[in-house]
Amino acid sequence: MKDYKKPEFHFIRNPDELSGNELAKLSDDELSKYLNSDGYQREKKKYRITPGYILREIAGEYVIVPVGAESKSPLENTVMTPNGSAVFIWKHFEEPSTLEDVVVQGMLEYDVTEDRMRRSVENFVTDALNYKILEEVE
Amino acid sequence: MKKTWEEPRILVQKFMPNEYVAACGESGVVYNFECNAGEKRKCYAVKDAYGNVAEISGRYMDGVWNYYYPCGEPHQAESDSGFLTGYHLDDPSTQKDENIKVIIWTDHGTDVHCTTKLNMNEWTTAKS
Repeated sequence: MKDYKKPEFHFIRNPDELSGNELAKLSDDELSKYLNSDGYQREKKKYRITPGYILREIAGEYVIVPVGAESKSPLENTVMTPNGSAVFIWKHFEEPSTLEDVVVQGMLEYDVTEDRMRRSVENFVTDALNYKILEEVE
Repeated sequence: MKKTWEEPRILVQKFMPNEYVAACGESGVVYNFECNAGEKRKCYAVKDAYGNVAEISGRYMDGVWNYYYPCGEPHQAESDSGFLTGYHLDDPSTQKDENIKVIIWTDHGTDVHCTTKLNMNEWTTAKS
């Protein structure tokens, strides 16, 4: 019997900007090499909000409360107030998501260029990883 | 209709009082400090002389989770109420480092106010 895994679908940015047709024409070896490249593996990473941080909406305003922040963490004994864009990103990372998942959803919901949205999400992910608010998941 | 995107920001507020920040400046003087470095409605990271994000008043000032913006208000700042030099502002939404050199007033290590007037001797005083 095989183990059942909940089905997940994610967007992964194509780091080499090969078109679908070009990817389809790659040989098995070439495709395997591409899928194992550093760029693709980096884009494939999924992240999730670390357990212990709660996003709550109170009277139309959002706050993030660290209920399980590590001792001596700079976020211990804090309350965080995110703006609307940060709430959007935060909510998408409550479930394991790739960076591109959030970028694509952002493009659908917001009037923003792809470059700007990607830079915003990348900055958020970099800082959130530093603070250990975000963790990489399998 | 699609919503307008703004740079994601998270303001972090500590429960506990922050530690006192070392002071410089002439003792017993109250400066008129105008918090006006940078452009209005922009949020900035605060970086040290090496371009590293600085921790000021207990906040890691990366411009995303904690940021400085010019409040535009004049403050009466006692000379021993926590001034910091050697820092600069950078807009994190751009690729380059704007490198806006500032003096920071921390109001006893509780806040981050910045001015680009780097010569304290030229500041006006409220009381001395």
